[in-house]
Amino acid sequence: MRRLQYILMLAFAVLAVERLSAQEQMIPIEKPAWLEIKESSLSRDSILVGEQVVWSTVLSMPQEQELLFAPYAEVVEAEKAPIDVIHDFKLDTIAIKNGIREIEARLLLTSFDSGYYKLPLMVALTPQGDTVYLDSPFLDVTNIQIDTAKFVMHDIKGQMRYPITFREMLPWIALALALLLLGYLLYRYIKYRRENRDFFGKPVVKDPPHIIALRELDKLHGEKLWQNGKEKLFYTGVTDTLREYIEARYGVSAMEKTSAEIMESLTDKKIEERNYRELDELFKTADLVKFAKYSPQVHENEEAVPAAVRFVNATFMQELEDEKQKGEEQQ
Amino acid sequence: METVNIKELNERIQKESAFVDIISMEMNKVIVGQKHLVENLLIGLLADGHILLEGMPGLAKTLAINTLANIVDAKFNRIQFTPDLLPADVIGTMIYSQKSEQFQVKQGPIFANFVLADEINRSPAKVQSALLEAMQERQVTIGDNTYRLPKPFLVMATQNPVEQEGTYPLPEAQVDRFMLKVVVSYPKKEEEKLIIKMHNAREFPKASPVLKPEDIVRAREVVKDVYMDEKIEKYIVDIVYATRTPEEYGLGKLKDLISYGASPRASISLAMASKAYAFIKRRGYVIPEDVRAVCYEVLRHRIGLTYEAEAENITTENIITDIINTVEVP
Repeated sequence: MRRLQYILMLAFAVLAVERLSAQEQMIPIEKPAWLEIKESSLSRDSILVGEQVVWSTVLSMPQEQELLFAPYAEVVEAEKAPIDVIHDFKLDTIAIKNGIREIEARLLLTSFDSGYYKLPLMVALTPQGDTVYLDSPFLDVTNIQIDTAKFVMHDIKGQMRYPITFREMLPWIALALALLLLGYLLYRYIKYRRENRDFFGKPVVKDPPHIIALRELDKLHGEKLWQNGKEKLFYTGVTDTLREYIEARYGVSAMEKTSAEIMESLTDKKIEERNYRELDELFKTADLVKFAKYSPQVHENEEAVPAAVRFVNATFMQELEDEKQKGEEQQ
Repeated sequence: METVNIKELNERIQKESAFVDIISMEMNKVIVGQKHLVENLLIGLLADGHILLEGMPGLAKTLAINTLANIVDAKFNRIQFTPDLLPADVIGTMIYSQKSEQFQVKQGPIFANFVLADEINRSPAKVQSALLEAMQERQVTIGDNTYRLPKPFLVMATQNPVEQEGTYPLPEAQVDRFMLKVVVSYPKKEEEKLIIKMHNAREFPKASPVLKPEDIVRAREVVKDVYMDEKIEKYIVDIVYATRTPEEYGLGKLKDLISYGASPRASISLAMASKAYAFIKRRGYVIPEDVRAVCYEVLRHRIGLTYEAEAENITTENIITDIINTVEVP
């Protein structure tokens, strides 16, 4: 309800402004008896073109009364006054005493036309719908006096640059730090990865090929695949483990080679004849199982993992012996 | 689910493939060296696929197929492709008989079990198309009638890799119809000495007919039965796919070198040729070695090279080597 009242009053104020415009300066200053203008002054009587001035008006009125001010910018526009409103009314109750309220209305104005002006009247509305016109002071707007005899033309000044504050810089600094940190972490990750270390720099303990192979073979043995009719899976597991072991031990790309090619590439390696033959047999049996639906005998299945383990152990022992021999030769 | 008795199949193949050794023996009587050529001729014969031969003149290409025809006791015809050759000269035509006052069919030289299309790239596209269509359909239409070509039917076409002037290179789509492309190389020194001796002898050795065409047709049925495990099928598909999308197989460097990869016909041919190879090796099942043994012959004419590859002297053989050295063997 109160809101509706304000809307109506605002409409009245706009109408009042229009009426004021229509009647120009013919309207006499009117104010109700309960309203008293205690002060109405400008912060400066005279300003240079473009300078700003505060118009301050202190009104005194009964507490129960209200006034609604018409926007001063509209008043100025309606009167086509050479005034510019920078900040419109700012109302502030400065005192309430014995049922009397004191209100201060402040306006920030400027002008870009030189001259001596009487500012347009302030327009307000009472709750009863009466229009109130309040007196306004004079303002003297002057130009800068230039001594044309002594005047020296100066070049146009460049754009003024304000110093960048730390607050403005803060997001950029944070972004730069974050990028630096990310770059460092990436560098450290690549470096540690190459050095076979984990993210925190601790060396990653990589098991030697024979340990990995023996672990895998033990796992296969424990899974009891051939006992459950999964011979193909069992032999694939055994041969894949051996191929990975051969690849890691001898650097032969065994995963991309056929059984015959693997055996061919091992001929020049130091492998005992017995182990070589056993591996060949194992690969041949595995190929039969994998590609020819061959069902091996129980003893063949039982021998597959032990044969693979024997090959891994024998080749590992051979390597140890070779290293020992090499060490002795160097001494 | 299909059940395969491998033991029984192996025994059957041992029995049926006995003639392979006889053929090889008879061929070796006449052909010195060229083991690779003879082996691929047998693969083509058993896998029911045609062969494109590339090699210099005088490398026993004609002699090889002629000898094979003698051994199988089959009909052999040779067609010399020339620029003025017409399709009718290959497949046959209708001629008017004044005696019977009727048009009669005159079958062309393509009506033979073994046909040697010598220097196929010397004839224009219309003649090549006539031959290749007959190769694919295994039948020829003359006038209103369609005639089945005899079984077995094997075409061996030759191309000279050196002379390119006045030739009509086979389009990719037509080259794809050859199951194998075999590159014939020069014989070794010792082999060449032996060739001279053979020619200086009073009588040139002759292969004896030891087989009937029906034996080959029956052997082809057995070849089809050679067991191929799913793992091998996957291996074949991986190899063929690696020619199309090498980057998926860690072969990103080949991406800019291949303009087009092998077609699904390559997968079929690779599978069939692997089976035939296993049969020649007297096995009832295919192993990865079989696939690798025929890989070059099946794929070399089915991979297109980019200008970059040609500029860097990279051949399809280089690409196939990279692929088979990268694709994981089952």
